[in-house]
Amino acid sequence: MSRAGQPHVALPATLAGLQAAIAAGTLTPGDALARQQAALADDRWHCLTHVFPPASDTPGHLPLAGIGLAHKDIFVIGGRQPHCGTAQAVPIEDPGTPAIARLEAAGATTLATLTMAEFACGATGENPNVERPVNPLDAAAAVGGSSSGSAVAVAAGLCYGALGTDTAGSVRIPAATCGVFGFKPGADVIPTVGTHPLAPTLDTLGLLTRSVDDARILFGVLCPTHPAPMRAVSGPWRLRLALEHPRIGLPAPAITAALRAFAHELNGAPAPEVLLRELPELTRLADIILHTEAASVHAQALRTGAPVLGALTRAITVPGSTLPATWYHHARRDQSHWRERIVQAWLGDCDVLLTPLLPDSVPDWDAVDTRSPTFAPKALLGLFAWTGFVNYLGLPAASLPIGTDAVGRPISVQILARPGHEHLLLAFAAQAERLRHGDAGLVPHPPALAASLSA
Amino acid sequence: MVRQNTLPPASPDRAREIDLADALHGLLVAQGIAVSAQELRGAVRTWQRLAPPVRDMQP
Repeated sequence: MSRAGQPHVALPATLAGLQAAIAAGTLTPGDALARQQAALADDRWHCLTHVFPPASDTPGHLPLAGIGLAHKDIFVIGGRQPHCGTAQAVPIEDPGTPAIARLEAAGATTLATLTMAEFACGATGENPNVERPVNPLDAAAAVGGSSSGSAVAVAAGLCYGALGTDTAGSVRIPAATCGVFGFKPGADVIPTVGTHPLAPTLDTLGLLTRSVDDARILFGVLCPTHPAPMRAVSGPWRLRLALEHPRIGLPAPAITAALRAFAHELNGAPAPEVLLRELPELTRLADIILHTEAASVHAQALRTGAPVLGALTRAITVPGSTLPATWYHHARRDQSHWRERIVQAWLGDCDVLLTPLLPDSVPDWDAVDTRSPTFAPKALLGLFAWTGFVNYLGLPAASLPIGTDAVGRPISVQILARPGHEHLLLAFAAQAERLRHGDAGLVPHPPALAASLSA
Repeated sequence: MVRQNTLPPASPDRAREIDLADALHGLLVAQGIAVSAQELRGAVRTWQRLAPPVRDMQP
């Protein structure tokens, strides 16, 4: 029972639903927040790294009043320095993170910080400094990274949305493993001030939510002046589908079938299929930048041993310390030419390009944990085969669950759009979500929200 | 912000002329970076994977 003696109204599964309930007066922002904060006490998924004390009341008229968010532990928040998946605070000179300040100015409450791969180095949540995060969908399934806690907290219902960072897939991969929406705007759309860098010219802030509309609401707060699309966004959609990876071939049959059926449904006919011949070269260029810039960020630690870097961080930074500077300069020099050419070739006559997000089913944790006796390198490499080149091109991208495989793990599509077409991408994803999932969102019954009923 | 290292520009031919592992180890030591044998093998694999193709694909 509530303090007023009224039976509790269930907390809606989506941010949009909670906004509507607060607007209708069936929930107050204070009650909604109190129950969200109480739910944080049961972090059986090992995704929280710090819980902030309850905030003072926020004005109820603000659009995000009563909405609890949590963010990857890579941002300066309220004077707290991030830990970046390490045991200590990592100093950042910026006094705050403007993206989080914008969300809070709109009424959102920052509840907690979330676990991550050490210094954002890794395609999973593997990190020797913290407990392994648990996938709320299936405890045996891997949790992608590096924004692992962001995906887990959203899927579990411990927050209504989370910021992550994406340098080579670190928002989209965890979203795909946990069955939530992961949205990475184009390069420089959301300022990275206040964020500990991995590779500064590739780093992008992104959102993880339980519905596309939730991401649209948060993106609207983060980028209120972002240009609207030049054409109507209700479809019919002009799609292209790239299923075959030039290096690893077609995805698993279940994923191939799911993506073809999805594209057919949204396109109104079988979608034209294309081969992205340039993908391996773009991935090579992206990796040169990633390794080189990460080595530069961590140069002092590599030399002095302080702070001690974990094996996965060193696996990126040590090779990056050996790459010839000319490789890096050529990769940076050619970046805008590649973007121009690829946007014309891949997206010149379509609204969005669809690709697999993962080439195979979401793997077991033990297959992608490098410390496991059953570690399978191919499974780990598959996690980021389709993502790194997107950051090199600076394209907006998203990961959207469109079905499940034979064991109930999510199958996700990657959606790519032209630079500046974030709203078009989100409109497409929202329509696709409604077709596939109705209005209940992608996770209709988050376990932590069910528990919050009795809080 | 990106440091300039001293390794000559790469090409597969050049990579064959030298012992790559020795060259990379020397480069790391020169920067004051101590590495294990496993890390050095990883650096060699990464270096080979990222080396430009013989006919550099231009945009």
